[in-house]
Amino acid sequence: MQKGLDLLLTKYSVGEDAVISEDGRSATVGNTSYPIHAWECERRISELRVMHDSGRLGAVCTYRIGHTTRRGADLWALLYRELGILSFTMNSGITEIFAIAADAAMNCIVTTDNGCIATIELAATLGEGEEDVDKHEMICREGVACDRVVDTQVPQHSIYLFGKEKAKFKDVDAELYGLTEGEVGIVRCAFKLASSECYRTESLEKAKMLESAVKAAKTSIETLENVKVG
Amino acid sequence: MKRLKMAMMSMTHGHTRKYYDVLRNNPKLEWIAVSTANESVKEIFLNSVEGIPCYDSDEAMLDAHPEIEAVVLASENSEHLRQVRLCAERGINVLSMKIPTFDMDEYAEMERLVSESGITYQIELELHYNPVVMRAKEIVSGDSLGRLDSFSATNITLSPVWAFPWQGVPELSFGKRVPVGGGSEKFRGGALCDHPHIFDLVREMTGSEFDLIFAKVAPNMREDIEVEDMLAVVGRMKNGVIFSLDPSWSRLEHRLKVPAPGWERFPKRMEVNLAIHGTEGSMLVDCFGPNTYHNGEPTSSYTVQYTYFDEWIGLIDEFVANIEEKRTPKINLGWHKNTIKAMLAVYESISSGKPVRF
Repeated sequence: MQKGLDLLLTKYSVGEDAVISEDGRSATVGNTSYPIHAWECERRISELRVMHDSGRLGAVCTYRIGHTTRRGADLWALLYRELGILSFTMNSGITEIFAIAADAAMNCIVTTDNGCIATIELAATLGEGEEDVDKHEMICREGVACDRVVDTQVPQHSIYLFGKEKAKFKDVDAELYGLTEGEVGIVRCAFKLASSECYRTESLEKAKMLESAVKAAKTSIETLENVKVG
Repeated sequence: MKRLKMAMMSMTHGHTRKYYDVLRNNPKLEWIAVSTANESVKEIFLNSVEGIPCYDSDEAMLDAHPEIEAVVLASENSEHLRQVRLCAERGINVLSMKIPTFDMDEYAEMERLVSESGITYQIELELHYNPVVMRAKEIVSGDSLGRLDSFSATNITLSPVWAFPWQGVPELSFGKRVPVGGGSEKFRGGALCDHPHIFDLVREMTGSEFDLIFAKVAPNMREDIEVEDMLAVVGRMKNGVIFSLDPSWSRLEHRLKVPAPGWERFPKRMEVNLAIHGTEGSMLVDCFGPNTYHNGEPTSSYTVQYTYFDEWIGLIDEFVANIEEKRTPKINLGWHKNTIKAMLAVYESISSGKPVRF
């Protein structure tokens, strides 16, 4: 990933250097560490934001999010990501959360400051080598926007290879060819952090809000009450 | 072979037309007559089916055909108690639509009538006869998933209110006019009342009863109807399985007065999808898919050619067998009561802003 980032920084003559952390969750620009909100640079997610901002769907009513990941994964980190996607795609803050959890699953009802009622369904149950299954569906007065195909249950790929070799491919970025969709998001976000002081400030503020929302979810699970964020 | 002599009442329910084929083609049934609640449904029926006597009142039909042995109550929820009374008095067996009533005093009265008359009273929850659901239940009861942890389900559809107006009238759907609350200006009686199936399914598939329910109502998609159309429900069963249920009318529709091709605006008009997670694995289920797709007339929009899985065949077979063998139906008033109570708890939670504990 760092190689890809260096390539972009050089190609576009960005004055700042940036270093991506080992876990891909932050980048150091100058002497400061900034959170990487990789989803903001994933094409399928940013297109949801475009659909929302265009007004073509009308006012948002509900938002359905589901994400199943590998067993043992950190559900809090997953919740942080999904709250981030919710907030980013609707350009809206999070005001309330009700959360309930079992051993490897968590369900939430989230209220945003633009009045949307969202559900977030998380689970960490997949086996080794299985790909995450996620879906983001914005349901509005004039229609629905979703990053998954209607009448399907699992994410699609661009290429399916059968025969002697069985494989599937999903290449999403020619400049960063060879990186996965998730890695591309991380590199693109780190590049944006290096390129824009304004975005760096915005990321710190957003991280604060998302951390508050996760904290509220933890309180909700303990108290089984609807909890206000912040 | 003796055939069960059946009739239908009211013909105002959205599922009315789903009985046409089964009443004509099931060799165990003889379709005797129908009664229609108003001129509008009478006209639709007469344009759809030939050769079946049609009456303007339930009483007129029952008086004219004392041979009727069973009736499908294809009516608005507010009519059910009156019709159950009529049937119980005459010893006529009943196949009821999915909501007997939301009024628990009325519910108790129905239980008394059924018990004292000895009639068979079966409630129509057609997912029980869906082959995908049957397979999912088999998997859950095996060891592939391990101990269940979480159950999520959608029961999302277009809104039927334009074709079946009573579903948008609080008094006819919910039984009375009660504000939803929770910041909404709408009244009870909308999408929730149309979608009991997933509240039933979570009970059956987890083998447990509701422990806690929290729900919120969202802004209506359809601002010009009186009842709620968007809501979210989460909670926990008594055995610790958490759930998330979406019973919304979140698929937009063209406002047709009679369901027909081109009804849907979103490509798929109905979706019942489950995500079930356990200690050993996860299962994703599309109860109505995959399908066939087209962009033909009348709208030329890309559309899922909706596939029914003949749920009504199994449902009617079971109803007939229950009467013949004097068995208590699986979906009887006693079993279904906790489903109705859970749906009432959803409204209560929305109104109070608090979780409801059982």
